[in-house]
Amino acid sequence: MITAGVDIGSTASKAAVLKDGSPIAQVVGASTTNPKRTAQEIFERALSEAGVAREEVACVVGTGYGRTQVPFANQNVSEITCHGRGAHFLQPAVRTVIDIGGQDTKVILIDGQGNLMDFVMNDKCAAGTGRFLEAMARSMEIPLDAFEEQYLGSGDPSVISNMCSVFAESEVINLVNDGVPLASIVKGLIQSLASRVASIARRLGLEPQVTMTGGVAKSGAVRDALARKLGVPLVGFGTQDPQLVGALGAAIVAADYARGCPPAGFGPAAGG
Amino acid sequence: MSRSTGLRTPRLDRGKLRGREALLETPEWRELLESLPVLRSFFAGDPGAHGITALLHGVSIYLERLFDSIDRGAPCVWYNLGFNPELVYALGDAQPITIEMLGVMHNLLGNLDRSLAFIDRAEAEGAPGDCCSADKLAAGAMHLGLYPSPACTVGINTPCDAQVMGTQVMAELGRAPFFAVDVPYYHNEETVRHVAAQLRLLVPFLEEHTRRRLDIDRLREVCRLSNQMTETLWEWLDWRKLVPLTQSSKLVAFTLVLQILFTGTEEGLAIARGLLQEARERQERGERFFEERCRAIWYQDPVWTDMQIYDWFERDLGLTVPVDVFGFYAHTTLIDTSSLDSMLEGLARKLVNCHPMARQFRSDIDVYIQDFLHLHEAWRADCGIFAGHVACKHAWGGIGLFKEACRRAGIPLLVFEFDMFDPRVTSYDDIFFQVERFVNEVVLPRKARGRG
Amino acid sequence: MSAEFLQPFWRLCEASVPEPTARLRDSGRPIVGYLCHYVPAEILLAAGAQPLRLRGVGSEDSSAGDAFLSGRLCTYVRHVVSLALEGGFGPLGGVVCGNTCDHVRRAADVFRKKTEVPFVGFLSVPRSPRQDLFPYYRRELARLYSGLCEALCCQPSDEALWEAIRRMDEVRVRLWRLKELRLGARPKLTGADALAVHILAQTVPPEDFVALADPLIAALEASPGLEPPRAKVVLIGAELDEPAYVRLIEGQGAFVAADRLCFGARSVLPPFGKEPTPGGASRGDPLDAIARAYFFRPSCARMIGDFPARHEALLALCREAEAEGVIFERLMFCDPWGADQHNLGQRAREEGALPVLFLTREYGIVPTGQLRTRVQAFVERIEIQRARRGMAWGAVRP
Repeated sequence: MITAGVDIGSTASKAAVLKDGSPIAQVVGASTTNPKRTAQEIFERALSEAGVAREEVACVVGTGYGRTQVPFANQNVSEITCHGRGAHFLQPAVRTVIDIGGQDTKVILIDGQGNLMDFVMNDKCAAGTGRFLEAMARSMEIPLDAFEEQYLGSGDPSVISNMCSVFAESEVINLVNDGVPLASIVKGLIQSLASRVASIARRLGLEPQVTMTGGVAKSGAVRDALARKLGVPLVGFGTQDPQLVGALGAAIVAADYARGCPPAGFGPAAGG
Repeated sequence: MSRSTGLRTPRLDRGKLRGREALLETPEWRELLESLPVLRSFFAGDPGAHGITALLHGVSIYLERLFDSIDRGAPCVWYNLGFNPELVYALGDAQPITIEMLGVMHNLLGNLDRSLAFIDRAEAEGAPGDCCSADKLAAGAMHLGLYPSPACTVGINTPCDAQVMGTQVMAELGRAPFFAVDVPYYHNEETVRHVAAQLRLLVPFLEEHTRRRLDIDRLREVCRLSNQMTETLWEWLDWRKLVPLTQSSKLVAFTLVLQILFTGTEEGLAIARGLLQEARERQERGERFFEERCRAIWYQDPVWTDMQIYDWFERDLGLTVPVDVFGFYAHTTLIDTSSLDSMLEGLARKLVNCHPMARQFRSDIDVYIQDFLHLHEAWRADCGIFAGHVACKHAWGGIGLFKEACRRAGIPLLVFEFDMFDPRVTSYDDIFFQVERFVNEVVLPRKARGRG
Repeated sequence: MSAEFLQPFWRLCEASVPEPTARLRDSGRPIVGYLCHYVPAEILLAAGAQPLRLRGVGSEDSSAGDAFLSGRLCTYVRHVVSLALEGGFGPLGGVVCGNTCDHVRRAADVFRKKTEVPFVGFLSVPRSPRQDLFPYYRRELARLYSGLCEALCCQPSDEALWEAIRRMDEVRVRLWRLKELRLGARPKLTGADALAVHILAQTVPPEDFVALADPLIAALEASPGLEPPRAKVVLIGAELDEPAYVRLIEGQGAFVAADRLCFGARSVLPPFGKEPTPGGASRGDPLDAIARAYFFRPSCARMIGDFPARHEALLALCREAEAEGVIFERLMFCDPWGADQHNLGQRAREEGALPVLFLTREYGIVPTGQLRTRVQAFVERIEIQRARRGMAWGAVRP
């Protein structure tokens, strides 16, 4: 049985195809202002990579902010549920998933079957999200990828006292103008982001094991800072791209639907 | 599980705090005790620092009494910072505990990591980020189970709305009988009578739950001490009207601490006398630690996170703060100690009309503005500094009318946002920068023009 | 069929002064605004005024209010004050504020000093619904009534108060019936529709409300009801007067079967006016009846020490509405509801507690993306818990 998950996020869109419970394709691309077209394109890319035809797919689940804009999906499910299921699929001992995406941060508690137990999200503020790091990289005029190297560089972290992204940006510009080494600023920024995320996580309380998903999870620097801030190790996924965990989870949920058993009591699948 | 991690924290277990040893096993209490001698040593070189020396001595006695009462299993009464503890002190060995106390003390002593951990814990437990950090300090300490279990709790809706948060959380976490004291909006005699009537009900409530009888002679003595402290503070504040100021600016904010922790005690009176003696001696000796170039009425909240900032203002800018809203103790009738009723009425009057903040924050904006204008004139200030604690809704809600009043009165006014207990909101440097710019670019040139 | 009867409610609540109220004002009846449900509409009616629960609807930005109140107060109060400063309510005969919270208290200062409103009344409501504090509240109502009568040049009388109670009882009887129609396996009224109805009950003359409500109730009673919802919830919180917000919540599958909103069902009291005694004997003190009904109603988060009672009432409401979860909404900067958020969060962590979703919002903005995700995930969580309890989809807690 083949199923698929399509995750339309605010900055990136992802798709995963599952065959008999194993991933056979996972793709990621940029989101556009036309989510329907984005969904179509990313889905087609995934099908092509998997080498399967659309008709072979028993069920598609849309997730992410654009989940209702996936016209060919049989069902849409929140990305909170999908990240939980995806993370459980990859690391069954995980009970807490920290998903840092482009525009928000979610902390998700799951049970031993990957079912959603509780969750908490950041408020509207962008601090503690991928956008925060992007904006800061822009103001320092360095690529986001360079954060990794800077974080590992020497020097004490700068204190970024302002938690608001807008004010933090001006604080960063001031630090740059004052000649503070980039490594110190980057460390300060990453620690500030980690503090923000940790504060959201504390609202829920973490259950070990803890993992991290979403695009920001690709940053070893953020993972390191967050693990230190939380005082717990973060379980990784090996070679699996953490950004694709939501799409993978959606494909798993789709498999539940295709088997005719809505996952954990969800409503019946709608027609595509 | 460690409380420094994000892991699910255990539910509070106050049952463990059965004696001073148990209390001192917690890093929060241990550090507090360890910090006091360090702080005392800072002032050892200044034999004239009677105020701060008396304050530190008073805190030590307070803590010793607290530990002693825990050892003896004496009943504790929790209350929020709008209440004064005279009635509790009149219940024999009952021990009053202000729920904000531990967080505020760590903040004042510079143990910011501890106090910020209280704030973070409160938020982790569901307190919204936009609520007052004073309440979060209280909530955090209660969640960490750092206060001995109360026999009962007393909540009052002054000085401001934020206290609703502190009191509700106290009622929930205290898990003990709760008594609410309602203070109405108006500044009139009916308000005093209304509060006095509730204090009359509070007495049997306290007696029932602490299993202690209110000793009327003891209450009379407590009220006498409270009156003496009040009179001493009035005299002290009068000394601070003199120009130039010879005593540190930062001492003035401690009046509030005095009212909340020490009113009605020998230590409270000793602290007030220490402050007075220091002000008088320094003035008479003509001591000058700094050249006063201008003076400000600091309205709203002190920078508790680092009181050294006032030393910087004095040294680097020549700016002094002779009085602030936390330090202003308004003139009103003293407590009449002739009968229980007269004492309760006097205590009620003190709570609603004199208690710093409660007087200005609970009613219409007029009292708030009039008090500022009075302070500005009587303490001969050159400007006003509205240090707006971010979560202080009553103050920010009156900012437009307050600014208008200052403009009408020709008083230069600096308005800035910060959090009095959390330097992560506005940094120390930012505050200093704003005050420096205001003093050097607005106040001093204006003063020079006035002289010219 | 009921849609056509609901449509006027939605249309009329788009205006801060709905058409029937504006008409009355144009005919010379003074409109008196108020900001809190501890201000009894009966007092205003008895003084010859038309009560209007003030809303910020139609205020595009709150800058006029922000100039006085800053940006650190709740957006509901800032928008209401902005609208008042910009004349958005038209001429008001008076406004009654209270010490509901610091925000409303400061709004009173601006009304007094910066608007032309001829009468700015104030109600100091005790902070605890305790018996010994009741006389103070009653005295406050008496003072408000006499002050208002003096300002509006009318004679205070028990008869006028009884008549006002009678008129409001007509409204309450309808609201009570509508509340019942939200219950059951096939509810007949959505939470969003119910909120629109409640808003009208507080902003139009009682007779106009009754005229709109009666055909609606008849149509709803005749209707088969809505499809069984995915999950039923109780919505609680403060000043939510935006039915579109509730519609968005319900659009994600969280059917608001009951609420405890200031603008919603918390404002509804059971009818309390007594029938005239045969022989014309005294019916008692109308002011006392009003004061009792309002003071001892299910309390608002401003009432200190009353959280346990509020929590009990919430659980009872959940049972009555067969709700499987609670959605708690709070306006940013609101301290009283901030305290309840903390306390409810504590109780929600207890074993077997109903799941609670906490939402922070700003007035006048109906967010889409994040709100949808949160509510949908919350519904999924409820469904998962239901499945874990071994109940079939669509089944609800007993």
